[in-house]
Order: sequence, then structure tokens, then C-alpha cells
Amino acid sequence: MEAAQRILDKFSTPDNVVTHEFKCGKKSGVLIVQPDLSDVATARAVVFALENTAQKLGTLDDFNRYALLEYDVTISSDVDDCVNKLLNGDMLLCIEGESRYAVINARKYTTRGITEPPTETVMRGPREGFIEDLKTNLSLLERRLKTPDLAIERMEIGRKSKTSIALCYLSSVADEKVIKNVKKRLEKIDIDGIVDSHYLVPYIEEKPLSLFNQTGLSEKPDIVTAKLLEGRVAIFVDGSPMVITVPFVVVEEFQSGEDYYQRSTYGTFVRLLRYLGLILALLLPALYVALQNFHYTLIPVRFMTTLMTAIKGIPLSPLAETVFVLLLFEIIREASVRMPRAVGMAMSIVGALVLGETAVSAGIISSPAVMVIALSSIALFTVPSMIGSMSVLRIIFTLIGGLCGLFGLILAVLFTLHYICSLNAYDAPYLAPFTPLVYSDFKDAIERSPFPTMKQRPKSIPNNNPTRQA
Amino acid sequence: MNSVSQQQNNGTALGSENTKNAGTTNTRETKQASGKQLVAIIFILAMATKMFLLPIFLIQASGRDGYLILTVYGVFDLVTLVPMIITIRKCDVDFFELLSSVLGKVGAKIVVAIIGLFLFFKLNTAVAEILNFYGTNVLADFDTSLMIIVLLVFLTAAGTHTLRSLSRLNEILMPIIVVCLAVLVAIVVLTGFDFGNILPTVADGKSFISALLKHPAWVGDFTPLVLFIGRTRTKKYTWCFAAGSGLIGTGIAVFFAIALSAAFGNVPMLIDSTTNLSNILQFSVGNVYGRLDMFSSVVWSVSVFIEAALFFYATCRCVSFVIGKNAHFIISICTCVCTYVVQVFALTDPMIFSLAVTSYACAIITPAMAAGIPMIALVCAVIYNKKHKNVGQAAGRQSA
Amino acid sequence: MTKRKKLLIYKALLFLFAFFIAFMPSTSLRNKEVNSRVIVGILGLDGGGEKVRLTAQYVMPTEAQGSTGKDTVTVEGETLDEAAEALNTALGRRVELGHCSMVIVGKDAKPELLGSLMTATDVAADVWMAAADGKAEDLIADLTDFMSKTGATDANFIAYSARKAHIATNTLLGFLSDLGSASKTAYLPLVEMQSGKASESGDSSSGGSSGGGKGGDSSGGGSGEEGKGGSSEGEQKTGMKVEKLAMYGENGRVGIFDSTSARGVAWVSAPVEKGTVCADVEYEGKTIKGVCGRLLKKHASVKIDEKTGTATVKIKAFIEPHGDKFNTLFATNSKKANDALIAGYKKKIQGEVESAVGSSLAATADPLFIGREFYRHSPDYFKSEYDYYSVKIKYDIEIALK
Repeated sequence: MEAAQRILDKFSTPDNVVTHEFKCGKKSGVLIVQPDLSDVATARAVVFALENTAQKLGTLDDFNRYALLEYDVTISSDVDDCVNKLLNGDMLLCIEGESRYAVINARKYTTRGITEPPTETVMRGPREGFIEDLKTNLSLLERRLKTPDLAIERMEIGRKSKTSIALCYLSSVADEKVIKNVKKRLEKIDIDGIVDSHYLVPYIEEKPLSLFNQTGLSEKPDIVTAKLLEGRVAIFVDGSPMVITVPFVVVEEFQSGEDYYQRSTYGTFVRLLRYLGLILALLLPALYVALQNFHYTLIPVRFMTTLMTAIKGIPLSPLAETVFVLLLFEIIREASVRMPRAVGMAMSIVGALVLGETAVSAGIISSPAVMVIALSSIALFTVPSMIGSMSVLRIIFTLIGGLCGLFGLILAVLFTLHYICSLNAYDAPYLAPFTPLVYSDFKDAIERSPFPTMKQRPKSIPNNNPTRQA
Repeated sequence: MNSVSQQQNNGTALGSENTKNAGTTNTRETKQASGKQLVAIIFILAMATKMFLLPIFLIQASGRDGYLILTVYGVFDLVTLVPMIITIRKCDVDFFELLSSVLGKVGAKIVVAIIGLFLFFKLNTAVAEILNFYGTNVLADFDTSLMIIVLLVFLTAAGTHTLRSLSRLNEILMPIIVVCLAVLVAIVVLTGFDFGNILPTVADGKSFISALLKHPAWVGDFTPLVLFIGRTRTKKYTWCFAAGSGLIGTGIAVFFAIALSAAFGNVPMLIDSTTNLSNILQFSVGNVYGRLDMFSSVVWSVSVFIEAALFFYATCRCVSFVIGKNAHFIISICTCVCTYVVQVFALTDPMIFSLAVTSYACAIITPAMAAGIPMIALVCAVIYNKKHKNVGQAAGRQSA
Repeated sequence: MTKRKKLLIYKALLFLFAFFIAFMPSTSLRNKEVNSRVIVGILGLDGGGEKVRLTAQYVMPTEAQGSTGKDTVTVEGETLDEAAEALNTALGRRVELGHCSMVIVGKDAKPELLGSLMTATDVAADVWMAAADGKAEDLIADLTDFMSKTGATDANFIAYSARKAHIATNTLLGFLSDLGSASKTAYLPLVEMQSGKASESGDSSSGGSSGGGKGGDSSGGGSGEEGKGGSSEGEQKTGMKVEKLAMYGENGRVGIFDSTSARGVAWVSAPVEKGTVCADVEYEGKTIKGVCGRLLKKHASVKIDEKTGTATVKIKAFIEPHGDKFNTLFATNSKKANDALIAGYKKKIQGEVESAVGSSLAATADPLFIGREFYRHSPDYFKSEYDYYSVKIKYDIEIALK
């Protein structure tokens, strides 16, 4: 049959699809199915229904009207579109004498169940996490936002992968300019395939080479819902449990879903700890080296004598020692992440206890250096999403602190801050509400105010409707 | 939004080099600074370099009356701040555009070139102070020719980015600077400082006058504010807060100058560039808390870095306008090289720096520029506004 | 320029910068690290004529984690700079003077050395100062023994305990500033060591600290034998005594104020606010000796009147009386007893200040800084007519009992 052949010709290995020939009255036809992505039972039922129909069917429209009433059917004459649908799990029905195709929805593929995401576990609060299925993910979102305002715009990205993307936002809240900008950036993407949502991130960010995250990534429907309610836009990618949200401001790195499910005072306290943790993580090793190399006058005398006793006889210079311990830590961390879980435990014991302890007792590294790096590293884990970028920055700061002292360190911090100040993607200043100063947004920045006091949506994020509650 | 964002992209280091809008700030976004940021910048400009090494030079030159000279300079600068604030408030166009429309393109370029030279001089004064402070006070065996590179990297970054970034940087660092100042004030006040040492005032009129005439290189700190003309989102009371912050900043500088004068008033020959805020305590707290004072002093010094960055940025924008190109990265690199040459080859000896900034030529030119630039801006703004009012009226009449 | 080219330039510049930083001299030189330094805790200054002797008590890290040892070294040079350099050589490492907590000035040390010390070395301007009765070198040796016995880590305690015992103290900048003032006088607390036999050390030191209860004159010390600087054979330094003041003029030490005069100076010195006052109280015809009180706070100032050439020493002291003798008086609960107590304290304080003035006249020093006050408020009078010996000094002492 010509129509079926046109489809099969598109495939380099036509065996990938299965064709069922059938006879319906005097008309013969072919049903083309992709068996890996479609429900075979549906295919069987369709063939059975067609072969046993009592109606006299002439055209595809008749088939649709009388024989396939219980199925989700669309008629298309675009071969490429039909191939695309076939590859998405739909069945194609061709009949002799018709150049058009009936596309019957028979998509069915295995997905994992909804579980708690390992990256965002909470003690109290919803444990649902997104999965790799777009449809399920959207249903999780729709269950939380039962409003006609919720706009879901679908598109496909990837010449080969034809990955389904869903752009979600609340039309009455999200800023049109942001939506337009995101759509424009997505439409511009011309790539062969999108495997995960992380592929999209550099296309959406203003400065893709930057060390800093400029998009939010979440696996939890509650967090994405909250972000949509603040006027952000979410991008769902089929095959990825990670949902991208833009615009993104730096305070989001310090916010956790858990903050909103416990007492606001405690939430504020924990947030302060996170800020302190990040400062400690970034600056402690650098300060330690700078003080040891150049500015020992700043150290209290009693602490200084203790320090001198502890570092007596260490063969490495303070800078080399600190960088060595930092790199050692990074290697151990990387190894324990990559290792299977069962070996990971042994790995951390060997790394942390045996290596560290032996190096200190052998006099290769000093105990203050180990303590400083350990404290800095633990502090870094308070902001897990920033581990990557901050680890790199920490090493740079340590090198500059060790080579140029506080002079270099202050300049390095100024340089970094100045760079961050220049980030302003989607009209949302990256460092808002700290700069530009937006007092009202402090309610959800450093402190975590109780919900009744948060009457306005964050001003740092462009939105159409600033009022959140009366 | 998209267009704005793209424009912002263009404005950064990788941005376009179109000749359109040359000399204006990097982006075509008109309002780059908020009123709060302007207030914060004024505070920093009012006190940063005035609190750094100037009090030391003044005490060396005039003994216990050093603070009085600094007060005179502070008041002078505050007076020049008034026309500047009025212009920022009244004028809606960029400084360079303002000059072009009033003086013509050639006239504007000549004026901007002179202003650029002055800003370059101010930049070098600030950089020399920073290097002097860190070289003698904070870092042992400080190699100026190498360390300056670290500073210049930051300045170049400031030159290539936008005024908005610089304003934001200053805004975010303000609380830290204020905390450090508070710590230093607390240490000075709580340790029972004998402020009586500043008496008697002007016991030696001759040295007072001589010192007053020799150090005006430190006035004119508010001149880079011309960049904020037409680019600041002001509110009703912004000008009020701006003037207030200038006053407070100057007050703080004067307070620390008083403290330093009180500490070294009897022994002015002992004060040198190694002596700074950190060394003025009369009753030891150092060994109890560590040198909290010194640490605060070092962290506070970021305000001088910011001031230097602002001078650098302003110099680059002037060059950009004069040559008519928006090649910010190249201009920044060139300014950076010039600064390096001046600092490392021309000002190798602190004595040369001292002679340069205390020369009579400098004493005449600096105050003239410090007062002249805001006045030019104000006069041009008045003319511009009148012109446009007339044009508006004429257009109104025509349409009627 | 294309974006790609610019990116390449950025990368090249970044690499150049990293290369530059990595090969900076500071990377290869390790002489600045804390490990290559030796901390000096106390610095002693002797001489000043032809030779300058510097004695340093330095801190050494020991094998045991967290503990340190102390030792002293003395070097000599023609100038202070030379002596400081010699100190580096003597210790084999660069000395770190920024952590020096005390500078001790020997009897023959010239004040100009202190100016050089502040400008030419890393010694902080706010370092505490003390004077030795003899050589600073001997006193530092004794202090080192004493500190290792008591486990004291730095010498700050000398200044703090002196202030608690109502003795005026001074910092390096304070001293130089006082000396450079119109009064041309500065003072330092005089540190003396008490010695005793080794077996009696415990008793002796406790006697030293409780000595205030026995005598009515001073609040601390006085019970042990006075040390002469160096330790004599068979004797051990058992304690420290800070109750006198060494008075300095432009050319060096001009005298030593005894404990009564030293307390008189302390009454006018603003930073000294604590201490014990013991006075004899006349009540109902009887003299109750040694009624003690704690000084809680005080305000002191010197007011001048150039017309009459008068200086008024104004002191307002807030005293909290205590002890059995006070309790006996307090039991009477009468205003009379209160007045008697105030009068007793007033007399005592005035006596001490008068003693300070008397000693200052003898030593040609002006520790109450009366000259400075005249200069501050009436410089013309100071230049034309002022003479310390002809100034009429009045006392306005107010006591507030708590």
C-alpha cells in the first residue's frame, strides 16, 4: 500500500515498526505500530474492531466515525508529522485509496513510580517528586493548581529526539515579557536531541559560561507550584524529573521546601545558618592561609602560639598544605559520589579517617588545616545546589589569599560580587532583594516570615499581579 | 523585556562596539541606579579617601589642626555636592548627551576630555593611597609592581561592566562598611580616647594655611557623580537623603581625623603612612580580641576600592565619549595600562607622589575642577531644560 | 571582534593573570609565613647613649600540642634599628613584634628610643608599657621565671593588675603623647619583683596579695621584701609588685613616685577607675583606722583659671565601703557616720593627690598635666606667664557612697 510504504520508507530499519494488514469489508488497510512505545492490546482491539465491523466504510472519516469511536483519533496527511507521532507511540491507520492517515493514540511506556526525590528530601511536607514522564509530571502540577489560569504550552525540541517540552506559567501572574523571552530562547534552539532538562539550561541562561546557577531546578511539585505562584515560568522536559524555573535569584539557593513546613522562627534561623555556612565555606580556607602567610598580627596571641605549635615541622607551606587538603577533600567527595553506595561508606572511612589521621600524625599536614577544610566543607553542604560553583571559587580564593593576602582576597571577593551584580536575566536582579534593595522581599530572603505577613509576591521577580493575599 | 535583556548583554564585556551612544554607560537602559544606590555612593565618596591617608598627611603638615583642614575640604566638597544633586534631580538626560546638546559635539568632547584627565588623576591618587596603605600597613614586603595587577584586574572588570553593577556592588557592601565603621567608632569611643589633645586650635597659623593650600588634591570626590545624571531613578526625598549621606560621610571622616589628631597631636613627627585607624588606640584591646580594629580597618578599605573603581569607570566612559566608540573592554585595558605605567614608573617613590599631589599647580587645578564640573553640569542642565521647554511650547502652539 | 575571539582573549588574559600570580615572588619566598617567625611577648629597652640593649622574651612552640615555652635573649646595637636587626640574627628567625604585649623600659633608657621603637618596628602603638627599677633585662629574666611558674601566657596582666590596684598605666603612644605635650611629663608603672626563699614562696605570694588589709596606706602589696632587680643567690622571685610610678621628662627618668604619690596620680588619670581606698575615719571623737571601700567609678579633671593662675583638681569618686569596720559604723545608721566616712575618704584622696603634687615639684615633673591644660585652654598665657611652680592648686573632691 502506498501510504504505508511512504511511512516505512522514512525508517532506516523498517523492522522497528510492526504492520498489521486487515480487511474491513472490501477495503484493505494497514495498521502501523511502534511496539516498544504503544499498547499492543489497543492495536489488537483496533484490528479486531475493524475486521468485524458491520458498517460499510469507505473513507478514513467513516472509519473514524463508525469503527474507531472509542479511540482518540486524528486525521493527518503530513507524513513527517505522522512519523513523529508514530515514534511517540501512536498507531497509524492507512487504507487503500487514501493518502491520509488516522493517528490513533495508543501511547504506553513504562515509567517509574512517584517517589521522594533524593535531592530534596524533607522531614515534614509532601514527599511526591517528579518522574521522567511528562504527562505524570504535568498531572502532579495540575493537581496543585486547579485554575484555568495555568497555561501549559507544549513544544518539541530536538531534530532527532523530538523531546516534548511544556512551558507552564500562571497567565494572570507571570510577566508576559518573561514568557515571551523564554519562548523565544526555546524556539531558537536547534539541536539534534535533548536528553534531559539540563540540556536546556545554557540556552535559557543569560550567561551560560558563568560559574553561577541562573535557573532554578527542582524535582518537587510543591516547590514548582510555589515558584509559579510567585510569577515564574516552569519548563518541563519529557524524560527528566528536573523542572527548570526562571527567573532565578540567588536567594532561591538558600531557600528549601522544608523552610515553609516548620515554624517560621526556626526557618529563619536555618536560613541564617545557610548564609553563614556559605561565607565560612568560601572564605575560611582563604582567610586561614592569608592570616598565616601575611597577617599574623591580626591573630590573638594565645591563638597564635597554639597555631604555631600545631604547624611546627610541617614541610608544606600553608598555601600548599591548604590547597593539598582541599584537593584531597574534593577527590574523596567525588569518589564517594561515584562509588556504589555500599563501597561509598568504606570510601569515606578510608578517606576521612585513615588518610586524614595518618597524614596529620605523619606530620605532612597539620590538624588546624584539616579542621579548617573540614569545617569549610561541611558548611558548604548547607547550600547543596551551590557545591559545584563554590568549590571552584573556594580554591581560587584560597590561592589568591595565600599569594596576595587580604589585599588580594578582598579584591577577589569584590570582583566576584561585582560580577554577580551584573547578572540580571529576565529583568530579575540576581542579588535581589539585597541589591537593588527591596525591603518587602526580605520577608522571604534572610528571614522566613509567617505566611499571613507575606501579602505581596516578591518584587524581585517580574510579575503582573503583585498581590498575593488580601 | 527581551530587547532590554539583549541590550544588557551587549553592554557587557562581550558587547557590541557600536558608535551609537558612545561614552554613555554601557547599556542603553536609561535608569541604571536607584535613589538608594546614589545615596550609598555619596556616602562612600564623602569619606573613603578622606579617611584613608589624608589625615596622616595633614597631621604631618599641620599637627593637631589636621582635622580642621579636613573639615574645610569636607565642607568644600559638600558645597560642590549641592549643584550635583540638583542636576541629578532636574536633568533627565545623560551627562554626555547634555553636554553635546548644549555645547555642541566638539565642545562637549573637549570638556569631557578635561574631565577625564581630572578623573584619571583622582583615580591615581586613590590607587596610590591603596598601594601605600597595603604596602606599608597590611602586607609585609609588598611588591607594588605585582600587587597592582590584582587591583587593576578588578578595576578593569569595573570598567567593562555597567554603572548598575557598580552601584549594586556598593549597595551590597554598604552594611559591611557601616559595621566596620561602627566597630572602629566603638573602639575609639569606648577606649577612653583623650579628645582634649586637639586643643588648642590653630596654634600655628602659618603651617595651618600652608597645609590647607598643599592638599586640595583630595577634594573633588563627588565629581564621578556626573555619571548618575539622567541615569538615576530618584524619588521625592532622594536628594534629601543624598545630601544627608554626604553630610554623615564627611562627619565620619572628620571624626576619625579628630581621633587621629588627638592621638598624634602632641607627637606629629611620629605619624607616618604605617599609622592608620588601626594604630590610634591608646588602651590595648588588640591582644584580647585579636586586632579587631586592624581587621575592621582592612575590611572598611573596600570603600576606597569602590571609589577607585568609580573613578576608573568614569575615566573609561569619558575616553569612550571622546573617541566616539563603545569599545569598553579595550578602553578599560588601555586605562589600566596607563594607570600601571603611572603607578609603577612615574610614582615609584612615595615622595614623588607626595610632591605631585602637594604641588601648587595641583592646589589650584583640583579645587577648580571639583567646583567647576558640578557647575558646568548644572548650567548645562538649566540651559537644556529651558531649550526643551521652549521647543515643547512651540510644538504645543503649532499643534494647537 | 567576534564573541569567540573575545572569549579567546579573556581566556588568554586569565591564563596570563594566573601565570603571573603563580610566579610572584611571594609564592617562592617562605620567609613571611608564621612558621618562620618567632613571637616576642615582652620587649625590654636599656641604654640609649652609646649602646642600645634590647631584651626579648620570646615564645617557642614545644613538642606538646598547644603548650609553649618562654626564654629571653639580649642583644646590643648602636641604634635601635641595629639592635632590632641583631635580635633577628640572635633568634635565627624574623621576630614578630606585632604581638608584643609589654615594653619594659630600663632605668637608663632614653625616651627617644621609644619614638624609634614605634616608627621603626612593628610594635603596636597601643602596647602596654612598664618601667624597671634597674635594668629591663634583669626584670624580664625574673618575669619570665615568674610567668612560667604562674602559667601566664602574655604580660598584659601586669597592666591590668596595676589598674585594678589603682595604679596609672600607659601605652606606648600614650607615653609619647604625654611626653610630647606641654607638660613634657610621662609616667610608667614601676614593676618590682618580690623575692623569698623557695620553700616560702606560696606564703609569700599570698601575703603579697592580701597585704592591703594590714596597712592603711595602699591597697596591694607591701608585705614582701623588695627586689632589687636581679635575683640573688638562694632567693627566688615569688611575686610581683606594681605600686610605684617612674616619672619621665624629656631627657629620661626624673624620679620614682612612692605608692602614695602614685595613687595620687592615679586619681587624676582618667582610665583608672577601679581599686580599693582605705581611710582613717574620725567618728564621735574616735579614730577608726582602715575603713576600706571599693572604688566603683570616678570622674577626674583639671580645671584652670589663667586669670588667677589657679588649677583645680576635680575628682568625683563613687565608693562602696565594706568590711567589719564599715559594718560597725553602718550599724549606727546615722548621717553623722556617713559624713564622717565621706570626710575620711575625701581627706585620704586629697592627701594622696597632694602627695603627688609634692613629689612632682621635687621631681620637676607634671604628672597631673596641669601645664597641658593651661596650654590647651589658654595657649597665650601658657607661653607668656605659665610656671608650674607658681600655679595655685586647689582640690575639689566629691565622694558618693554607694
